[in-house]
Amino acid sequence: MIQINNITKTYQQGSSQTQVLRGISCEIPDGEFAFIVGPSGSGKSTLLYLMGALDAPTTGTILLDGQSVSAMSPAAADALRRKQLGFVFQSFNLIRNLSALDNVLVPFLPDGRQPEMQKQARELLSSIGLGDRLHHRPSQLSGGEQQRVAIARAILKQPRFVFADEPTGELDSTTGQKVFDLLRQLHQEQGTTIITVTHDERYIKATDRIIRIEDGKVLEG
Amino acid sequence: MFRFALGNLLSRPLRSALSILGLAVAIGGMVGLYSIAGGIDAMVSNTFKQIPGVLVQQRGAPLPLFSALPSAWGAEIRKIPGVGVVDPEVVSRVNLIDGETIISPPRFIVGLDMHHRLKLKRDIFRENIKAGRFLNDKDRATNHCLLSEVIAKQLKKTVGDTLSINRYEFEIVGIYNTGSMMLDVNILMDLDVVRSLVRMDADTICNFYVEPDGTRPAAEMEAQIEETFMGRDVDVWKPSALMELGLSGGTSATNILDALTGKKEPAPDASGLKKSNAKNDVEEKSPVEVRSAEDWSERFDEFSGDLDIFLSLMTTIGVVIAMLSIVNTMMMSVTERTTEFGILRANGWSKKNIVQLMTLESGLLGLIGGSIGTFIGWLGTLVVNMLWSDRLNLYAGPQLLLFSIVFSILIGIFGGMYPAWIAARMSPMESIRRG
Repeated sequence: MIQINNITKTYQQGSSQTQVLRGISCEIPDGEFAFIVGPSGSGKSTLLYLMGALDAPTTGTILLDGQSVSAMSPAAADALRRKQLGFVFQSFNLIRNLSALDNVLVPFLPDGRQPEMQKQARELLSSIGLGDRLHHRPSQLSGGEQQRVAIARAILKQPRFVFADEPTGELDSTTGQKVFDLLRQLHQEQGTTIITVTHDERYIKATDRIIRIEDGKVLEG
Repeated sequence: MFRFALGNLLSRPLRSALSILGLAVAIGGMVGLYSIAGGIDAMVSNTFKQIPGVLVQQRGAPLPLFSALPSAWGAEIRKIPGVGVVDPEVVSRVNLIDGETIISPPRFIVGLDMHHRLKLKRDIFRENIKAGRFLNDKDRATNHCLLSEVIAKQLKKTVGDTLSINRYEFEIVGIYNTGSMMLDVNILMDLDVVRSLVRMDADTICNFYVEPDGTRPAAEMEAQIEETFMGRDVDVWKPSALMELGLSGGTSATNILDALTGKKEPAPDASGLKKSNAKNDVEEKSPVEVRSAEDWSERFDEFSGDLDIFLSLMTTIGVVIAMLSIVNTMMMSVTERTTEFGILRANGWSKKNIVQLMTLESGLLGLIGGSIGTFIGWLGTLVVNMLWSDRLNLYAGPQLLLFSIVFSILIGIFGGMYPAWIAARMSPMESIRRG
């Protein structure tokens, strides 16, 4: 369960302040497939990153399973991201010097490449149709393939939450659909809570939770 | 993480290569510079471990070349318990060899008293004869000499050849090679012959080489040698009237004639020189000092200590430039990889992990640059020693080589720390969004 209680986020740029989130409150129960939608600049990506413990809100609290993310120590936040949270980005954000296999293993690199994790990473990539692309660099992969590698990186750890920021933003509609099919498969098979930021509402189903925000405030959800 | 770090460096080959090159030059220069001090240390150590005896010379003389003692003191030293052999020596610099002025490297003629010299149990020159023979009693008052292999090669001479020293002709009877640049500058010959060449009277020598007989601790023997002459002075030397005339050029007969006819005035009398009252001079100190191998080593250590300060300053300049090059490379890398660091943080990497990655990369630059530089520096010392074997003796020992590599790694790590800190302190969200 993710509980967001009246959070604000203000950026200081020189002497001027920009308030991106203006008192947002909402809940996302476990196992939901949720979408954060809204126009550009509405603060949806900021909300997503705050939920993912990539930054702290200016005021308010975010609770993941009852635990305050903003009150966590840096080490605890790192551990949370490493073990329980997965991220998928619009620009794929793969490490260009690493092969597809090593990109999937990125969360585990500081602890060394354990054979068991390597085996799981190979199996995962094979299961999403990239078994013959294990040792290809990102520049040798298509956009769709890169995003699948990014999803594999996010889910190898079997996270409780996956945060996806415009995951189809740089893909054509067919490839975009395949990416969403993969996320929904993960959601159904593993019960992972998936929170996605998108402009494109074609991928939203009636059963999905929608959080609609505009000008830093929740309109719906 | 190691493969990841290495891959990051290889993905920017030109920049990494330039950083490595900068570091290699600095470390290579450091190895080269410190090999000078290393060469001196190695030479001194190698030389003195082959010389078991001590030198007795005039107090304050930096080298036997600048020492003058009465010959008669040798007999008194011989009576001191613990003294085995006392070999008087005369040393002078050679001005001309085969008509060529000798400036650098310097050459010295060393006069040995063969009667005593041959009694030495250990003689570094006698033990290192490479061709011909060592000097013996029959060489007294002859023009026979012994050359080092270095000098023989330089002059293209061998046993049986002749050479001119200060315009006098000598026959080479043997060639030695001690392997020490300190000793292989000497041309050995009879004591009296050297005296004649340098116009020194028979009552004077430069120093005594004393070989202990092993019956007494060396320190006690050395102390007694100094005590024996306590309160005595090395008197102002005044030539006899006849010698004075003989020393003033021309033949003795013409000099005497000149003196009688009033054409020549005798040398001014310097016997009126007053003794110094300076505090350090009137203190009870022996006019002689005994120098053991350890004393010489300490003197050279003092010199090489000063040299080390100079070398450190020179090295620091190169190292600072190399470190700035690493900082620059890593800062550029941080700027380019802002998004990458955000992604790594999003995937659970801690700030410490980011610092580890960055310092591993800069440390690798240090390792590679240091290894190349150390190898080049070491190779350089071999080439220099080969090309100028009689002038330079550089020595880059295992300690220096290992230190250079470790030092280079540390430069890399320290050079990478600031950029690593910059990379680690970025907000993951900001880093990702900048991409």
